[in-house]
Amino acid sequence: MSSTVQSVPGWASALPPICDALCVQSRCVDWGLDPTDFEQILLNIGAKYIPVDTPAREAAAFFQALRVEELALARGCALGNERAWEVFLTRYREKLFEMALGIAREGATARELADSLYADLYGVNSRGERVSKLASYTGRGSLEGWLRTVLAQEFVNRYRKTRRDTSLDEEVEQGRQFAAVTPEAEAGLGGEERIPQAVDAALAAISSEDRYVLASYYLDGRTLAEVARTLRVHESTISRRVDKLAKGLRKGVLASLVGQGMTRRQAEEALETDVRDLRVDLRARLAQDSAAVAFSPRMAPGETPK
Amino acid sequence: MSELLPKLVSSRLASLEARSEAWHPDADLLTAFLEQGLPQGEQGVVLSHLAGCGPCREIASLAQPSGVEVQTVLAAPKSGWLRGFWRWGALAACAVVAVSLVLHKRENRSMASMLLPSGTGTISTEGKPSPNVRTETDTANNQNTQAAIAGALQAERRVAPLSVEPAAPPPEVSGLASNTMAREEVASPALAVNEPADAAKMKAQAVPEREDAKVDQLALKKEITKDLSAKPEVLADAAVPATPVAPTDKGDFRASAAPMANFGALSAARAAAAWQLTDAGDLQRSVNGGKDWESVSMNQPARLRVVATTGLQVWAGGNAGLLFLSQDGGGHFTLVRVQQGQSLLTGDIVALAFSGPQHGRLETSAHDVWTTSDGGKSWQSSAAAK
Repeated sequence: MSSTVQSVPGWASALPPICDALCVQSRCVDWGLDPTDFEQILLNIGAKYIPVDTPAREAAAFFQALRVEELALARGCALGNERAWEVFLTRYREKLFEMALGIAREGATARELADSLYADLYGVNSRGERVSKLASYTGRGSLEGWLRTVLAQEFVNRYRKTRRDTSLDEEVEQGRQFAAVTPEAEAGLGGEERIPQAVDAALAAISSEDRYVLASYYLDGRTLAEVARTLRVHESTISRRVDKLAKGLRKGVLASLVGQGMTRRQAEEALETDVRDLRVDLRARLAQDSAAVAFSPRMAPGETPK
Repeated sequence: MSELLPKLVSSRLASLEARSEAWHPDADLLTAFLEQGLPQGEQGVVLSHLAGCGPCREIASLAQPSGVEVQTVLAAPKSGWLRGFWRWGALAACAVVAVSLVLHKRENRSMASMLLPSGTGTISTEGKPSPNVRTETDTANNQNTQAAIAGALQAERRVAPLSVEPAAPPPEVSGLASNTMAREEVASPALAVNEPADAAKMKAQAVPEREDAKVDQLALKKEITKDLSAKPEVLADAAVPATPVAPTDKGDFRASAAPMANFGALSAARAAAAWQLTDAGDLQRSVNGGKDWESVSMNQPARLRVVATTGLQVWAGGNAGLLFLSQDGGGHFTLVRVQQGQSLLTGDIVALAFSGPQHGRLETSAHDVWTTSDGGKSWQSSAAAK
C-alpha cells in the first residue's frame, strides 16, 4: 500500500460508492487487474490531481470523468498482460507511426521516434524488470491523445537537445546570420527604460488566454490557424483578437508612459510611432523560453503555477 | 525570432529563462487540456502556464490531432432562435430584392411600350430593335443561357466523383480549346471503370502507341490526380464541353489514351480518398480532402463502427460482426465472413488494422482479436486459440 492510503484525504470517501461501477466499465478484470488493484490505481490518481479539501461530490465527478476503459488497458499493458498488449497493438500500433510522422514530418525520424516510444511503453529494462511508461497514464485524456503528447514531448526534448549541441560555427555554415549590436540596443529600446515597465504593466492587465494568443502568434510565429486549433475557435476569431490586443496594448503602453510623466508626443516618439517596436517589445516581454526539461513528473496537489 | 529583435531583447530572453517555472503540466494534463476535458479551474491553470512557457506551447501545438477542424465541421449545428432569425431574415431580404428587381424590370418594359406608338412595335424605322424584337433577342439569350446552364449541369454531373453511372456522350457544344479535350474526357468519372470489358477495351486501344505516349500519359495522370484530389472546381471548369480535336496523330492518341489515364487517375483518387463514418454508422467518402462527402452504400443494412484502408482496399466493420471489403477503392463492397471452423464472429467490430493487403487484424467489443494473413479469406481468433 502506498502512503496515500495511510493519510486518507477527505475526498477518498467518494470513491467506494462508485468504484464497482467504474471497475465494470473499465473491464479491468479482462486485462488482469483485480478490482482492488484498480481502486488503488484510482486512489493514486486522485492523490495526484485532487486537492485535499475537495468536496466528495467533486471528487466523484473527477473519477467519473476519467477514461477508465483506456486506463485499465494501459495499466494492464504496464503489468505485461498479453491480451491487453494484443488489443493495444491492434488499436495503436499503426497509429503510433502515423502520429510520429505527423509530428516529425519525416519518415526516418518518425520511425525512430515511434520505435523509441514503443520501447518505453514496453518498458523492460536490462535487468528484466518491467517499468512501462504506460503506468504513468492516468486517463484524464484519451490514450491516443496521451500517446501523441508523449511523442511530441519526446520530439521537442530531442530537438532542443540537438539544437543546443549545434555550435555557432555550424549555424553560420548553415546560413544563420547574427545582427550587429547597436548602441540603441545596448542601452535599451531607444534608450528609454520606462517602456519595458509599461509593457509589463499592459501585459499584466490582460487575461492568460490573451497572453497565450500573443505569445503563440508573435513569439512562436505560429499561424492564426494553429492558435485557433489549440483553443478550438475559428481562425477569424483569433485574427480579430490579435488585432484588438495589439491595439489595446499600444494604447495601454502609451497611457502608462504618459502616467509616468511623459507627454503624449514623447510617449509616441519613444515607441517611434511604429507598431513594430511595440511588437518587438511584446516578443521580449512574452518570452519565457525555458531551457528546463519540458515536463516535470508530477504536480503537487493543489499547486498552482505562477 | 524576427530580424527586428535587438541585442537587448536577446539578453532579456536569457534573463527570463532564469525566471521560468519549475512546474510543467504532465502529458495527461496537457492531453486533457487539448481535448477540452479539464474543469474550468485546471483549464485556466494550464493555459496560464502555456502563455509563459515556450516548450510546452510547442508540445501542445505538435500534439494537436490533425483532424480537429473536420470534427468541428461534423459536429451537429447549434440551434438558436437568433441564428434562425438571421437566416430566415436574410432569405426574406433576398426574396424581397429579387421580387423588386423583377417588378422594376417589368415596370420599365411597360413604360417603354407605352411610350412607343402602337404600330411601331415590330420594326423600328432606324433598324434598331423594337421592344418586341428585343424580347425575341431576350428569348434567344434565355435559350443560350439555358443551354449554358444545361451544359454546366451536365459537366457537373460528369464531375460527380467516382460515380458508377454509365458514360454519357459529350455534348456537341463549342467550348474550350482543343488541348483541354483529353483532360476533359479523362476528367469524366462517368466512364464505366467498374466494367472489366470497358477497361480491357481501353487498355487494348492504348497499347499500340504506348511507347510514344508514355510521357504524355504520365503527365496527364499527374495532372488529373492532382485535380481529382485537390480541386474539383477546376475539374468542373475543365469539363465544359470542348470542340472536337482535329484528327491528327497526336489527337488520335489522346482520344485513345485518355480513358487509360482516367482509369489510373481514378484508381489513384480512390486510393487517396478519405473515409469517415457518420453517427448513424453510415460510410462516407471524400475525394477532395474532406470538402465534400458522399455516402457509400453497403447494399445491406449495417451500422458501421470502424473503417480502415490499405491501398485500394477499404475495410469497414460494424455491429453484429459485419465486415465489408472493397478491392476497388470503395466502388463495390462485399460481405466478408469472419469465422474459424465453427466459430463465427458475431460481436461488434470496434477496431481494424491492416498492415498490408494480406495482413490485418480486428478487435471486437468483447476484446476478441481476429487476424488474417490472406486478405480476409481465412481468419484466426485469439479466443479460439486459447
